[in-house]
Amino acid sequence: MRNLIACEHCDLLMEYPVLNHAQQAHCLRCGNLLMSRPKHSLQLTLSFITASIILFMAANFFPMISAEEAGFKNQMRLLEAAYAFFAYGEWLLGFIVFCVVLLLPFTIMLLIVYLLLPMIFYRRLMPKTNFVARLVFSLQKWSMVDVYLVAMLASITKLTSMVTIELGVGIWAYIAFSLCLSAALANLDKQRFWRYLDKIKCHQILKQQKM
Amino acid sequence: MSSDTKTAKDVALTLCLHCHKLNPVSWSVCSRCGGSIHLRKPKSVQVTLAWLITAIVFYIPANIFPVMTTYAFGRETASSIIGGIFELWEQKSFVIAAIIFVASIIIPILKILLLLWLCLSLKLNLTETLKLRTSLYRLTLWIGRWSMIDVFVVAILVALLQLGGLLSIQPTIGSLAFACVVIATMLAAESFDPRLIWDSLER
Repeated sequence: MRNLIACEHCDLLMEYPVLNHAQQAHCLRCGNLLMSRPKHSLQLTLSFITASIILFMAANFFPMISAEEAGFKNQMRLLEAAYAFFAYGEWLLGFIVFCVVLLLPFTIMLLIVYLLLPMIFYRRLMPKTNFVARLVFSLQKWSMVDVYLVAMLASITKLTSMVTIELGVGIWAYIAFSLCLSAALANLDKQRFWRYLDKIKCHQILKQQKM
Repeated sequence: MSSDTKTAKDVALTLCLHCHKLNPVSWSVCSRCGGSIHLRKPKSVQVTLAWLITAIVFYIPANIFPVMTTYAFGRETASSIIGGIFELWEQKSFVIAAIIFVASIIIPILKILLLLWLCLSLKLNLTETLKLRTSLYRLTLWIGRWSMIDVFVVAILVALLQLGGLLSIQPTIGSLAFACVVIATMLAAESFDPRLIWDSLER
């Protein structure tokens, strides 16, 4: 059972592929990507996540865009994009936007640090690791930070024809944050993560036997 | 298909979708990650169809009602999704108009139709185009979230353009309906099990 693997999308049973860092394994029948082994992928995830957390703070703290027309001026921070809906009574829409661009990405970042930091540096597992890991993998696709970035660029283009626009520090922080988070999540591979977790479990058992 | 291809189901193994470990069929919890496991996603087609119907129902108000109302110099203009795209096209921002057109018109319709076809083909027990259908499923899974662009654009415009009596933008019910369409199609794609497509080979 240990040297077998099944395709997630067509259930084909195959031998567990042995890969070097440049290779990828695809399903023989449906072509689904089974496994890839980029170098230090989990370490990269952790470092990109650390960078994203700092950039996320900056993106929230500094104003992103300000609009000006005939003496009136208005600034926007990241949080205000969701808050504006609340102000108009569209609280459900505000809640959805708040969740997918702020709450979920932030939760995911914290949970990944919670999982990976003790694993990589101390070879230890935090309590509820299994549950948290399953949560991270199922929430991952609901964080729409990259979609929001494209929407932001689209609305800037739209706005320039209406009012005078000034870009703040916040938007550059947000662009960097979005790229870092995407890089982190792209490096977080399910297969690799659970294999690494198995390895640490073995390590712990060996340590206990020595004592 | 050669006769020696075996699926995990044939040898009484279940793949855990949380951590990709193979477990014996009789187990209900994965031995590695503790997540619940099923041989196939439970009631996959029914749940997918239910979410698809939800999406179709929400799609009507999303296109009938405006997504936002602009108050400029005392004048009030309501703009729908399609109207907004035309406006952008007239302002000569073709790339942005194309992006929003693809994200908010093409992708939702295509996604709903594709998933409907996938569910229908399971009912009809089609044994052709298995690989194509799996690839299309992967596409719907990946592309779904990008439809949210339009909702986010409205969010940013509403937050930014509050310039007193001169120019202000209010969100309207259309954008909520559209957000619901996107979420419903994403949930539909997630509840579909592509392994059912390949199961038709056994019968």
